Amino acid sequence: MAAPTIVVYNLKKSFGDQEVLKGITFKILPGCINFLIGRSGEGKSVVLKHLTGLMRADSGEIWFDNLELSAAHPRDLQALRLQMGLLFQDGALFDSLSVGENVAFPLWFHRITTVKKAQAKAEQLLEELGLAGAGPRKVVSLSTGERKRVALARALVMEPAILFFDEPTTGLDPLLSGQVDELIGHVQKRSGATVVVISHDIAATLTLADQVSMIYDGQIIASAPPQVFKVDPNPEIQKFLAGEPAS
Amino acid sequence: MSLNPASKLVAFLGKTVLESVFHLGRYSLLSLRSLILAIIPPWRLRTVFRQMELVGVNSLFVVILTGIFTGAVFTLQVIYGFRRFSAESMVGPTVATAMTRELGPVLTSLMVTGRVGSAMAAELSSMKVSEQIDALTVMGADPVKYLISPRILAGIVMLPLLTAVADAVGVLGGYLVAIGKGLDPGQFASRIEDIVVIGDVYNGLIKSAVFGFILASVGCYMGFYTRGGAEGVGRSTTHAVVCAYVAILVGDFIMTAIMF
Ligand SMILES: Nc1ncnc2c1ncn2[C@@H]1O[C@H](COP(=O)(O)OP(=O)(O)O)[C@@H](O)[C@H]1O
Ligand SMILES: [Mg+2]
Repeated sequence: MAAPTIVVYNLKKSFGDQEVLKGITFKILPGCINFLIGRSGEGKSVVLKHLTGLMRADSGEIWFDNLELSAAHPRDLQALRLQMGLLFQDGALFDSLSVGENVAFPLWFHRITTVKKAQAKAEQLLEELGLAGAGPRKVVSLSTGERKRVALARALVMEPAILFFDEPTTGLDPLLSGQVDELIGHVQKRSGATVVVISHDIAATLTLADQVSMIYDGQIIASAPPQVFKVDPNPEIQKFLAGEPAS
Repeated sequence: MSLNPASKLVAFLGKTVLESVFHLGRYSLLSLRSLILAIIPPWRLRTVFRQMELVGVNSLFVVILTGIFTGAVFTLQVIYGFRRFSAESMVGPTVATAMTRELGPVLTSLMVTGRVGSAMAAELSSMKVSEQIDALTVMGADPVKYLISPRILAGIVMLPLLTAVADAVGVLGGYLVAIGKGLDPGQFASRIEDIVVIGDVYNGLIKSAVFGFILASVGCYMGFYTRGGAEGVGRSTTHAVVCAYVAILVGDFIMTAIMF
Protein backbone atom coordinates (compact mmCIF):
# COMPACT_ATOMS: atom_id res chain seq x y z
CA MET A 1 0.00 0.00 0.00
CA ALA A 2 1.27 3.45 -0.88
CA ALA A 3 1.17 6.01 1.87
CA PRO A 4 -2.47 7.13 2.09
CA THR A 5 -3.83 10.63 2.45
CA ILE A 6 -5.58 10.96 5.79
CA VAL A 7 -8.30 13.57 6.18
CA VAL A 8 -9.98 14.34 9.48
CA TYR A 9 -13.25 16.24 9.24
CA ASN A 10 -15.12 17.88 12.11
CA LEU A 11 -14.20 15.23 14.68
CA LYS A 12 -15.97 15.62 18.02
CA LYS A 13 -15.47 13.66 21.23
CA SER A 14 -16.62 14.17 24.81
CA PHE A 15 -15.87 12.18 27.94
CA GLY A 16 -18.89 12.61 30.18
CA ASP A 17 -19.48 16.34 30.10
CA GLN A 18 -15.86 17.16 29.28
CA GLU A 19 -15.76 18.14 25.62
CA VAL A 20 -12.22 17.29 24.47
CA LEU A 21 -12.43 17.46 20.67
CA LYS A 22 -14.71 20.23 19.43
CA GLY A 23 -14.54 19.71 15.69
CA ILE A 24 -11.04 18.74 14.58
CA THR A 25 -10.46 19.27 10.86
CA PHE A 26 -7.11 18.78 9.17
CA LYS A 27 -5.30 16.87 6.48
CA ILE A 28 -2.26 14.66 6.94
CA LEU A 29 0.13 14.86 4.00
CA PRO A 30 0.96 11.44 2.50
CA GLY A 31 4.59 10.38 2.54
CA CYS A 32 5.52 13.32 4.77
CA ILE A 33 6.34 13.98 8.38
CA ASN A 34 3.33 15.61 10.03
CA PHE A 35 3.66 17.07 13.51
CA LEU A 36 0.69 17.51 15.81
CA ILE A 37 1.53 19.84 18.65
CA GLY A 38 -0.35 21.39 21.51
CA ARG A 39 -0.27 21.74 25.26
CA SER A 40 -0.61 18.84 27.61
CA GLY A 41 -4.20 17.64 28.00
CA GLU A 42 -5.43 19.26 24.78
CA GLY A 43 -6.42 15.90 23.32
CA LYS A 44 -3.47 15.00 21.08
CA SER A 45 -3.40 11.38 22.23
CA VAL A 46 -7.18 11.23 21.86
CA VAL A 47 -6.85 12.34 18.22
CA LEU A 48 -4.30 9.58 17.65
CA LYS A 49 -6.57 6.98 19.22
CA HIS A 50 -9.30 8.00 16.80
CA LEU A 51 -6.93 7.78 13.84
CA THR A 52 -5.98 4.24 14.84
CA GLY A 53 -9.58 3.19 15.43
CA LEU A 54 -9.12 2.65 19.17
CA MET A 55 -11.74 5.26 20.02
CA ARG A 56 -15.05 6.02 18.34
CA ALA A 57 -15.87 9.65 17.66
CA ASP A 58 -19.19 11.13 18.75
CA SER A 59 -19.39 12.63 15.28
CA GLY A 60 -17.15 13.53 12.36
CA GLU A 61 -15.23 11.60 9.74
CA ILE A 62 -11.76 10.13 9.30
CA TRP A 63 -10.77 9.21 5.76
CA PHE A 64 -7.85 7.01 4.73
CA ASP A 65 -7.91 7.70 0.98
CA ASN A 66 -11.42 6.42 0.10
CA LEU A 67 -12.07 4.52 3.33
CA GLU A 68 -14.07 6.16 6.11
CA LEU A 69 -13.16 4.60 9.45
CA SER A 70 -16.54 4.60 11.20
CA ALA A 71 -18.23 2.94 8.20
CA ALA A 72 -15.38 0.56 7.39
CA HIS A 73 -15.92 -3.20 7.26
CA PRO A 74 -13.93 -4.98 10.00
CA ARG A 75 -11.92 -6.73 7.29
CA ASP A 76 -10.86 -3.40 5.74
CA LEU A 77 -10.06 -2.05 9.18
CA GLN A 78 -7.88 -5.09 9.87
CA ALA A 79 -6.08 -4.66 6.54
CA LEU A 80 -5.50 -1.00 7.37
CA ARG A 81 -4.15 -1.87 10.80
CA LEU A 82 -1.53 -4.15 9.31
CA GLN A 83 -0.24 -1.02 7.54
CA MET A 84 -0.09 0.99 10.76
CA GLY A 85 2.50 1.33 13.46
CA LEU A 86 1.72 3.16 16.69
CA LEU A 87 4.11 4.19 19.41
CA PHE A 88 2.07 4.69 22.59
CA GLN A 89 2.97 7.58 24.84
CA ASP A 90 3.82 5.19 27.69
CA GLY A 91 5.10 2.39 25.50
CA ALA A 92 2.35 -0.16 26.19
CA LEU A 93 4.93 -2.95 26.12
CA PHE A 94 3.75 -6.47 26.98
CA ASP A 95 5.31 -7.13 30.35
CA SER A 96 4.75 -10.87 30.10
CA LEU A 97 7.17 -10.97 27.16
CA SER A 98 10.88 -10.20 26.88
CA VAL A 99 12.16 -7.12 25.05
CA GLY A 100 12.99 -9.13 21.93
CA GLU A 101 9.62 -10.90 21.96
CA ASN A 102 7.88 -7.54 22.26
CA VAL A 103 9.62 -6.18 19.19
CA ALA A 104 9.11 -9.38 17.19
CA PHE A 105 5.49 -9.79 18.33
CA PRO A 106 3.71 -8.42 15.22
CA LEU A 107 5.85 -10.58 12.92
CA TRP A 108 5.31 -13.61 15.12
CA PHE A 109 1.60 -13.02 15.59
CA HIS A 110 0.83 -12.62 11.90
CA ARG A 111 3.23 -15.43 11.02
CA ILE A 112 5.05 -13.19 8.58
CA THR A 113 8.50 -14.70 8.93
CA THR A 114 10.03 -17.58 10.82
CA VAL A 115 10.61 -17.07 14.52
CA LYS A 116 14.38 -16.95 13.88
CA LYS A 117 14.11 -14.24 11.24
CA ALA A 118 11.71 -12.23 13.40
CA GLN A 119 14.19 -12.37 16.26
CA ALA A 120 17.05 -11.33 14.01
CA LYS A 121 15.02 -8.39 12.74
CA ALA A 122 14.15 -7.38 16.29
CA GLU A 123 17.80 -7.54 17.34
CA GLN A 124 18.80 -5.39 14.39
CA LEU A 125 16.20 -2.73 15.16
CA LEU A 126 17.18 -2.71 18.83
CA GLU A 127 20.79 -2.24 17.83
CA GLU A 128 19.90 0.72 15.61
CA LEU A 129 18.21 2.24 18.65
CA GLY A 130 21.26 1.79 20.89
CA LEU A 131 19.89 -1.29 22.67
CA ALA A 132 22.19 -3.98 21.28
CA GLY A 133 21.84 -7.23 23.20
CA ALA A 134 18.72 -6.12 25.10
CA GLY A 135 16.56 -8.84 23.50
CA PRO A 136 16.44 -11.28 26.45
CA ARG A 137 15.84 -8.57 29.06
CA LYS A 138 12.58 -8.28 30.95
CA VAL A 139 10.39 -5.28 30.24
CA VAL A 140 10.21 -4.33 33.93
CA SER A 141 13.99 -3.86 34.02
CA LEU A 142 13.89 -1.06 31.42
CA SER A 143 14.29 2.63 32.17
CA THR A 144 11.78 5.11 30.74
CA GLY A 145 14.05 5.99 27.84
CA GLU A 146 14.71 2.33 27.07
CA ARG A 147 11.01 1.48 27.17
CA LYS A 148 10.33 4.24 24.69
CA ARG A 149 12.93 2.94 22.28
CA VAL A 150 11.76 -0.67 22.56
CA ALA A 151 8.22 0.50 21.84
CA LEU A 152 9.58 2.47 18.89
CA ALA A 153 11.27 -0.67 17.56
CA ARG A 154 7.99 -2.59 17.88
CA ALA A 155 6.14 0.13 15.95
CA LEU A 156 8.72 -0.05 13.15
CA VAL A 157 9.14 -3.80 12.84
CA MET A 158 6.33 -4.35 10.32
CA GLU A 159 7.69 -1.51 8.15
CA PRO A 160 4.24 0.08 8.08
CA ALA A 161 3.07 2.64 5.53
CA ILE A 162 1.58 4.82 8.25
CA LEU A 163 3.45 5.57 11.45
CA PHE A 164 2.04 7.28 14.51
CA PHE A 165 4.38 8.41 17.26
CA ASP A 166 2.93 9.71 20.52
CA GLU A 167 5.67 11.84 22.07
CA PRO A 168 8.59 9.69 20.93
CA THR A 169 11.24 11.77 22.68
CA THR A 170 9.54 12.84 25.91
CA GLY A 171 11.58 11.52 28.81
CA LEU A 172 14.74 10.97 26.77
CA ASP A 173 17.96 12.91 27.35
CA PRO A 174 18.94 15.40 24.61
CA LEU A 175 21.45 13.08 22.98
CA LEU A 176 18.98 10.19 22.74
CA SER A 177 16.10 12.35 21.61
CA GLY A 178 18.36 13.72 18.87
CA GLN A 179 19.05 10.13 17.79
CA VAL A 180 15.36 9.21 17.83
CA ASP A 181 14.48 12.30 15.78
CA GLU A 182 17.17 11.37 13.30
CA LEU A 183 15.84 7.82 13.14
CA ILE A 184 12.31 9.03 12.44
CA GLY A 185 13.56 11.19 9.58
CA HIS A 186 15.65 8.31 8.31
CA VAL A 187 12.84 5.76 8.46
CA GLN A 188 10.47 8.11 6.67
CA LYS A 189 12.97 8.73 3.86
CA ARG A 190 13.76 5.05 3.48
CA SER A 191 10.15 3.82 3.52
CA GLY A 192 8.22 6.78 2.16
CA ALA A 193 5.70 6.26 4.99
CA THR A 194 3.16 8.78 6.18
CA VAL A 195 4.38 9.83 9.60
CA VAL A 196 2.41 11.58 12.33
CA VAL A 197 4.36 12.74 15.35
CA ILE A 198 2.93 14.22 18.52
CA SER A 199 5.48 16.38 20.21
CA HIS A 200 6.29 19.06 22.73
CA ASP A 201 9.74 19.58 21.28
CA ILE A 202 9.54 22.81 19.28
CA ALA A 203 13.07 22.66 17.91
CA ALA A 204 12.59 19.12 16.57
CA THR A 205 9.19 20.08 15.21
CA LEU A 206 10.52 22.98 13.20
CA THR A 207 13.48 21.06 11.75
CA LEU A 208 11.85 17.66 11.03
CA ALA A 209 8.31 18.51 10.05
CA ASP A 210 6.93 18.88 6.55
CA GLN A 211 3.71 20.12 8.12
CA VAL A 212 2.86 21.35 11.59
CA SER A 213 -0.69 21.31 13.00
CA MET A 214 -1.54 22.80 16.35
CA ILE A 215 -4.48 21.80 18.51
CA TYR A 216 -5.89 24.37 20.89
CA ASP A 217 -9.18 24.31 22.78
CA GLY A 218 -10.38 21.22 20.94
CA GLN A 219 -9.70 22.54 17.44
CA ILE A 220 -6.87 22.73 14.93
CA ILE A 221 -5.90 26.40 14.87
CA ALA A 222 -3.19 26.11 12.22
CA SER A 223 -1.85 23.56 9.77
CA ALA A 224 1.12 24.71 7.70
CA PRO A 225 4.73 24.05 6.70
CA PRO A 226 7.10 24.98 9.54
CA GLN A 227 8.38 28.20 7.90
CA VAL A 228 4.80 29.42 7.54
CA PHE A 229 3.70 28.08 10.92
CA LYS A 230 6.57 29.86 12.67
CA VAL A 231 5.35 33.28 11.60
CA ASP A 232 1.62 32.62 12.11
CA PRO A 233 0.23 35.72 13.83
CA ASN A 234 -2.15 33.72 16.08
CA PRO A 235 -1.14 34.75 19.62
CA GLU A 236 -1.66 31.21 20.99
CA ILE A 237 0.86 29.87 18.47
CA GLN A 238 3.40 32.56 19.26
CA LYS A 239 3.02 31.93 22.99
CA PHE A 240 3.44 28.21 22.49
CA LEU A 241 6.56 28.75 20.36
CA ALA A 242 8.00 31.09 22.97
CA GLY A 243 7.26 28.59 25.74
CA GLU A 244 4.84 30.90 27.51
CA PRO A 245 1.67 29.70 29.29
CA ALA A 246 -1.67 29.90 27.49
CA SER A 247 -4.02 32.74 28.28
CA MET B 1 -33.57 18.25 43.80
CA SER B 2 -34.41 16.49 47.05
CA LEU B 3 -36.30 13.21 46.92
CA ASN B 4 -38.21 11.56 49.71
CA PRO B 5 -36.72 8.28 51.02
CA ALA B 6 -39.19 6.10 49.14
CA SER B 7 -38.36 7.54 45.73
CA LYS B 8 -34.66 7.40 46.60
CA LEU B 9 -35.06 3.68 47.27
CA VAL B 10 -36.89 3.19 43.98
CA ALA B 11 -34.19 5.14 42.15
CA PHE B 12 -31.48 3.05 43.79
CA LEU B 13 -33.21 -0.23 42.96
CA GLY B 14 -33.82 0.87 39.41
CA LYS B 15 -30.19 1.82 38.93
CA THR B 16 -28.99 -1.46 40.42
CA VAL B 17 -31.26 -3.52 38.18
CA LEU B 18 -30.24 -1.59 35.07
CA GLU B 19 -26.55 -1.98 35.90
CA SER B 20 -26.92 -5.69 36.54
CA VAL B 21 -28.70 -6.21 33.25
CA PHE B 22 -26.01 -4.19 31.49
CA HIS B 23 -23.17 -6.22 33.01
CA LEU B 24 -24.93 -9.52 32.41
CA GLY B 25 -25.52 -8.65 28.77
CA ARG B 26 -21.98 -7.46 28.18
CA TYR B 27 -20.59 -10.49 30.00
CA SER B 28 -22.68 -12.88 27.91
CA LEU B 29 -21.58 -11.24 24.67
CA LEU B 30 -17.91 -11.35 25.65
CA SER B 31 -18.09 -15.01 26.72
CA LEU B 32 -19.94 -16.03 23.60
CA ARG B 33 -17.51 -14.16 21.38
CA SER B 34 -14.47 -15.71 23.06
CA LEU B 35 -15.95 -19.21 22.73
CA ILE B 36 -16.68 -18.69 19.04
CA LEU B 37 -13.23 -17.22 18.42
CA ALA B 38 -11.70 -20.19 20.24
CA ILE B 39 -13.17 -22.51 17.61
CA ILE B 40 -12.34 -20.42 14.53
CA PRO B 41 -8.80 -20.90 13.18
CA PRO B 42 -6.02 -19.86 13.29
CA TRP B 43 -5.60 -21.68 16.60
CA ARG B 44 -2.81 -20.74 18.92
CA LEU B 45 -2.30 -23.99 20.73
CA ARG B 46 0.83 -22.77 22.42
CA THR B 47 -0.99 -19.95 24.21
CA VAL B 48 -3.72 -22.40 25.26
CA PHE B 49 -1.16 -24.87 26.62
CA ARG B 50 0.61 -22.05 28.41
CA GLN B 51 -2.66 -21.10 30.15
CA MET B 52 -3.45 -24.73 30.96
CA GLU B 53 -0.05 -25.01 32.55
CA LEU B 54 -0.63 -21.85 34.57
CA VAL B 55 -4.06 -23.00 35.76
CA GLY B 56 -2.80 -26.49 36.61
CA VAL B 57 0.53 -25.66 38.15
CA ASN B 58 -0.74 -22.67 40.12
CA SER B 59 -3.55 -24.68 41.65
CA LEU B 60 -2.40 -28.28 41.99
CA PHE B 61 -0.86 -27.96 45.43
CA VAL B 62 -3.73 -26.04 46.96
CA VAL B 63 -6.25 -28.39 45.33
CA ILE B 64 -4.51 -31.44 46.80
CA LEU B 65 -4.44 -29.89 50.26
CA THR B 66 -8.09 -28.90 50.04
CA GLY B 67 -9.07 -32.36 48.78
CA ILE B 68 -7.23 -34.30 51.49
CA PHE B 69 -8.50 -32.23 54.38
CA THR B 70 -12.04 -32.02 53.07
CA GLY B 71 -12.16 -35.81 52.68
CA ALA B 72 -10.58 -36.27 56.10
CA VAL B 73 -12.81 -33.93 58.06
CA PHE B 74 -15.92 -35.09 56.26
CA THR B 75 -15.04 -38.68 57.19
CA LEU B 76 -14.60 -37.72 60.82
CA GLN B 77 -18.08 -36.20 60.87
CA VAL B 78 -19.64 -39.12 59.07
CA ILE B 79 -18.05 -41.70 61.38
CA TYR B 80 -19.27 -39.76 64.39
CA GLY B 81 -22.78 -39.71 63.02
CA PHE B 82 -22.99 -43.22 61.57
CA ARG B 83 -21.54 -44.94 64.68
CA ARG B 84 -24.65 -44.01 66.60
CA PHE B 85 -26.67 -46.46 64.56
CA SER B 86 -23.86 -48.89 63.63
CA ALA B 87 -23.75 -47.92 59.98
CA GLU B 88 -19.94 -47.81 59.74
CA SER B 89 -20.00 -49.86 56.55
CA MET B 90 -21.66 -46.90 54.80
CA VAL B 91 -18.87 -44.43 55.68
CA GLY B 92 -16.79 -45.18 52.54
CA PRO B 93 -19.62 -44.82 50.00
CA THR B 94 -20.94 -41.71 51.71
CA VAL B 95 -17.57 -40.00 51.62
CA ALA B 96 -16.93 -41.03 48.02
CA THR B 97 -20.35 -39.88 46.84
CA ALA B 98 -20.06 -36.54 48.57
CA MET B 99 -16.54 -35.96 47.26
CA THR B 100 -17.23 -36.80 43.63
CA ARG B 101 -20.67 -35.27 43.34
CA GLU B 102 -20.31 -32.13 45.38
CA LEU B 103 -17.28 -31.37 47.52
CA GLY B 104 -14.63 -32.12 44.89
CA PRO B 105 -16.05 -29.98 42.08
CA VAL B 106 -17.23 -27.07 44.22
CA LEU B 107 -14.30 -26.70 46.61
CA THR B 108 -11.77 -27.17 43.80
CA SER B 109 -13.48 -24.48 41.75
CA LEU B 110 -13.63 -22.07 44.66
CA MET B 111 -9.93 -22.58 45.40
CA VAL B 112 -8.97 -22.17 41.75
CA THR B 113 -11.10 -19.03 41.53
CA GLY B 114 -9.15 -17.49 44.39
CA ARG B 115 -5.88 -18.50 42.83
CA VAL B 116 -6.38 -18.27 39.07
CA GLY B 117 -9.61 -16.36 38.39
CA SER B 118 -8.30 -13.46 40.43
CA ALA B 119 -4.93 -13.63 38.67
CA MET B 120 -6.66 -13.49 35.28
CA ALA B 121 -8.62 -10.42 36.36
CA ALA B 122 -5.47 -8.75 37.71
CA GLU B 123 -3.39 -9.51 34.64
CA LEU B 124 -5.98 -8.38 32.11
CA SER B 125 -6.86 -5.25 34.02
CA SER B 126 -3.26 -4.17 34.35
CA MET B 127 -2.87 -4.82 30.62
CA LYS B 128 -5.92 -2.67 30.08
CA VAL B 129 -4.78 0.32 32.13
CA SER B 130 -1.26 0.25 30.66
CA GLU B 131 -2.78 0.23 27.14
CA GLN B 132 -1.35 -3.20 26.28
CA ILE B 133 -4.81 -4.30 25.13
CA ASP B 134 -5.03 -1.25 22.85
CA ALA B 135 -1.58 -2.13 21.55
CA LEU B 136 -2.81 -5.61 20.60
CA THR B 137 -5.80 -4.12 18.79
CA VAL B 138 -3.65 -1.70 16.81
CA MET B 139 -1.35 -4.54 15.78
CA GLY B 140 -4.36 -6.38 14.39
CA ALA B 141 -4.30 -8.98 17.16
CA ASP B 142 -7.87 -9.40 18.47
CA PRO B 143 -7.42 -9.23 22.26
CA VAL B 144 -10.48 -11.41 22.86
CA LYS B 145 -9.10 -14.21 20.73
CA TYR B 146 -5.54 -13.80 21.89
CA LEU B 147 -6.10 -13.21 25.62
CA ILE B 148 -9.55 -14.44 26.65
CA SER B 149 -10.25 -17.51 24.50
CA PRO B 150 -7.15 -19.43 25.68
CA ARG B 151 -7.93 -18.65 29.32
CA ILE B 152 -11.51 -19.87 29.06
CA LEU B 153 -10.44 -23.02 27.23
CA ALA B 154 -7.82 -23.67 29.89
CA GLY B 155 -10.46 -23.27 32.61
CA ILE B 156 -12.87 -25.69 30.91
CA VAL B 157 -10.18 -28.34 30.34
CA MET B 158 -8.20 -28.07 33.56
CA LEU B 159 -10.96 -27.91 36.17
CA PRO B 160 -12.19 -31.47 35.56
CA LEU B 161 -8.60 -32.70 35.79
CA LEU B 162 -7.99 -30.85 39.04
CA THR B 163 -11.35 -32.06 40.35
CA ALA B 164 -10.44 -35.67 39.56
CA VAL B 165 -7.28 -35.17 41.61
CA ALA B 166 -9.27 -33.64 44.47
CA ASP B 167 -11.79 -36.50 44.37
CA ALA B 168 -9.01 -39.08 44.55
CA VAL B 169 -7.01 -37.49 47.35
CA GLY B 170 -10.24 -36.67 49.20
CA VAL B 171 -11.27 -40.33 49.28
CA LEU B 172 -7.71 -41.23 50.21
CA GLY B 173 -7.78 -38.74 53.09
CA GLY B 174 -11.08 -40.23 54.21
CA TYR B 175 -9.67 -43.74 53.99
CA LEU B 176 -6.70 -42.84 56.19
CA VAL B 177 -8.95 -41.22 58.79
CA ALA B 178 -11.28 -44.23 58.73
CA ILE B 179 -8.40 -46.62 59.37
CA GLY B 180 -7.11 -44.36 62.13
CA LYS B 181 -10.55 -44.50 63.69
CA GLY B 182 -10.50 -48.30 63.65
CA LEU B 183 -12.82 -48.99 60.73
CA ASP B 184 -12.28 -52.03 58.53
CA PRO B 185 -10.17 -50.90 55.52
CA GLY B 186 -11.53 -53.53 53.15
CA GLN B 187 -15.09 -52.58 53.91
CA PHE B 188 -14.43 -48.86 53.34
CA ALA B 189 -13.16 -49.57 49.85
CA SER B 190 -15.37 -52.42 48.69
CA ARG B 191 -18.67 -50.78 49.56
CA ILE B 192 -17.56 -47.75 47.49
CA GLU B 193 -17.42 -49.96 44.40
CA ASP B 194 -20.82 -51.42 45.19
CA ILE B 195 -22.64 -48.16 45.73
CA VAL B 196 -20.97 -45.25 43.94
CA VAL B 197 -21.82 -45.30 40.24
CA ILE B 198 -19.61 -43.90 37.54
CA GLY B 199 -22.34 -41.39 36.73
CA ASP B 200 -21.66 -39.69 40.06
CA VAL B 201 -18.09 -39.08 38.99
CA TYR B 202 -18.99 -37.95 35.46
CA ASN B 203 -21.61 -35.52 36.63
CA GLY B 204 -19.17 -34.03 39.10
CA LEU B 205 -16.61 -33.58 36.35
CA ILE B 206 -19.15 -31.98 34.01
CA LYS B 207 -20.08 -29.55 36.76
CA SER B 208 -16.43 -28.69 37.27
CA ALA B 209 -15.97 -27.95 33.55
CA VAL B 210 -18.83 -25.47 33.81
CA PHE B 211 -17.26 -23.96 36.94
CA GLY B 212 -13.97 -23.69 35.05
CA PHE B 213 -15.75 -21.74 32.33
CA ILE B 214 -17.39 -19.50 34.93
CA LEU B 215 -14.26 -18.65 36.88
CA ALA B 216 -12.18 -17.92 33.77
CA SER B 217 -14.83 -15.95 31.91
CA VAL B 218 -15.77 -13.88 34.96
CA GLY B 219 -12.10 -13.19 35.73
CA CYS B 220 -11.47 -12.13 32.14
CA TYR B 221 -14.62 -10.01 31.97
CA MET B 222 -13.71 -8.11 35.13
CA GLY B 223 -10.17 -7.54 33.91
CA PHE B 224 -11.07 -6.66 30.34
CA TYR B 225 -13.52 -3.90 31.25
CA THR B 226 -11.47 -2.31 34.03
CA ARG B 227 -11.43 1.46 34.30
CA GLY B 228 -9.33 3.87 36.24
CA GLY B 229 -5.72 3.06 37.04
CA ALA B 230 -4.24 0.92 39.79
CA GLU B 231 -7.35 1.28 41.92
CA GLY B 232 -9.38 -0.25 39.11
CA VAL B 233 -7.05 -3.26 39.02
CA GLY B 234 -7.68 -4.03 42.70
CA ARG B 235 -11.40 -3.53 42.35
CA SER B 236 -11.71 -5.83 39.34
CA THR B 237 -9.78 -8.59 41.13
CA THR B 238 -12.11 -8.50 44.12
CA HIS B 239 -15.20 -8.37 41.93
CA ALA B 240 -13.95 -11.31 39.90
CA VAL B 241 -13.63 -13.51 42.98
CA VAL B 242 -16.92 -12.50 44.58
CA CYS B 243 -18.97 -12.76 41.38
CA ALA B 244 -17.41 -16.08 40.37
CA TYR B 245 -18.07 -17.53 43.86
CA VAL B 246 -21.71 -16.58 43.73
CA ALA B 247 -22.10 -17.78 40.13
CA ILE B 248 -20.46 -21.12 40.97
CA LEU B 249 -22.66 -21.74 43.99
CA VAL B 250 -25.86 -20.75 42.18
CA GLY B 251 -24.81 -22.72 39.11
CA ASP B 252 -24.06 -25.71 41.31
CA PHE B 253 -27.55 -25.67 42.75
CA ILE B 254 -29.17 -25.40 39.33
CA MET B 255 -27.04 -28.15 37.78
CA THR B 256 -27.48 -30.48 40.73
CA ALA B 257 -31.22 -30.02 40.59
CA ILE B 258 -31.20 -30.91 36.91
CA MET B 259 -28.66 -33.75 36.96
CA PHE B 260 -29.39 -35.88 39.99
N1 LIG C 1 -10.44 7.25 28.06
C1 LIG C 1 -10.66 8.47 28.59
N2 LIG C 1 -11.65 8.67 29.46
C2 LIG C 1 -11.91 9.89 29.96
N3 LIG C 1 -11.17 11.00 29.70
C3 LIG C 1 -10.14 10.87 28.85
C4 LIG C 1 -9.82 9.60 28.24
N4 LIG C 1 -8.74 9.78 27.45
C5 LIG C 1 -8.42 11.09 27.56
N5 LIG C 1 -9.23 11.75 28.40
C6 LIG C 1 -9.18 13.18 28.70
O1 LIG C 1 -9.04 13.90 27.51
C7 LIG C 1 -8.15 14.99 27.68
C8 LIG C 1 -7.06 14.94 26.64
O2 LIG C 1 -6.21 13.86 26.91
P1 LIG C 1 -4.94 13.52 26.00
O3 LIG C 1 -5.37 13.31 24.62
O4 LIG C 1 -4.25 12.39 26.68
O5 LIG C 1 -4.06 14.84 26.10
P2 LIG C 1 -2.64 15.10 25.43
O6 LIG C 1 -2.87 16.21 24.47
O7 LIG C 1 -1.74 15.52 26.54
O8 LIG C 1 -2.20 13.84 24.79
C9 LIG C 1 -7.63 14.90 29.09
O9 LIG C 1 -8.34 15.83 29.87
C10 LIG C 1 -7.97 13.50 29.54
O10 LIG C 1 -8.25 13.47 30.90
MG1 LIG D 1 -0.77 12.53 25.22
